[in-house]
Amino acid sequence: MPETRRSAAPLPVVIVCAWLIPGGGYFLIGERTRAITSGVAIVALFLAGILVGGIRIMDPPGWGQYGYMTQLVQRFDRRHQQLADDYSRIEPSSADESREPSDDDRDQPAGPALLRQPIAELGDKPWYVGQILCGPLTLLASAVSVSAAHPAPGSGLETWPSSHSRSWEIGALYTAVAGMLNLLVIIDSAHRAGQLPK
Amino acid sequence: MFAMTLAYTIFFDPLPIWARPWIWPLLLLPLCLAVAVVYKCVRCRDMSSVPREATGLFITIVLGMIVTAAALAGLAALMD
Repeated sequence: MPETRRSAAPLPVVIVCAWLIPGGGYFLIGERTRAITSGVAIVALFLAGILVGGIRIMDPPGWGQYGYMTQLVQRFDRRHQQLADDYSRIEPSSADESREPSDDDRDQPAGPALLRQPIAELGDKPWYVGQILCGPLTLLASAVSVSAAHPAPGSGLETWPSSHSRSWEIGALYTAVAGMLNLLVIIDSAHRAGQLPK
Repeated sequence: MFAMTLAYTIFFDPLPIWARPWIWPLLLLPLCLAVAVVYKCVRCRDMSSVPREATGLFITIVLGMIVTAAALAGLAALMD
């Protein structure tokens, strides 16, 4: 079925729209069948990943096991009685611990690890690079995952524990591959938009 | 297993399939299907040819995986 209706949307708009909604770039340049087919396939694969591995496969860099931002703490060197050039990562298990990550008052909180060491945090969870290419769908799923990771009142355990082994691997693989496929679609829709007559 | 299935919450808990190991290889199929469909959406000039082309690519990928798995299993058996 030939695509007939075409519009010349600006290239940056096509790229941003293609990231925001899988297949949205094709839709803007008038290729609606291609947009719906690729978009449905990508979103279905992403949701299938969450279905297989559970929502906790969304594991954004900078957030710890209990869904609070990982904090850096500069340790106090007792021998030299000064702050050492030694930073520790603390994964808080409560909002209180998130505000005061160290028991020792002399330790100096250095802020969220994601802001201080973004590359190191991303390096710990490289699959998120693929996942984030799915756009706001990933951000939404990550927000739900972080919320589901908070400890249940009174128990101290995660409300929804993360899956392990094959469930986690296959879920993360599905969502990361969905993001990489969306990258392919973003590049192709941008290429097609660039070839349209102005 | 029955109690676990009762407590299952879709999209929050992982799919309760760990007691059925024969399901794991089947999870290759949705992945291959999505890759085949999206790849052919990108490659085909005419969208009407996508179903046929994607089906061909899907079968090729799955057969390739089966042949690779058989070859690796044979190699592993030889080395034992």
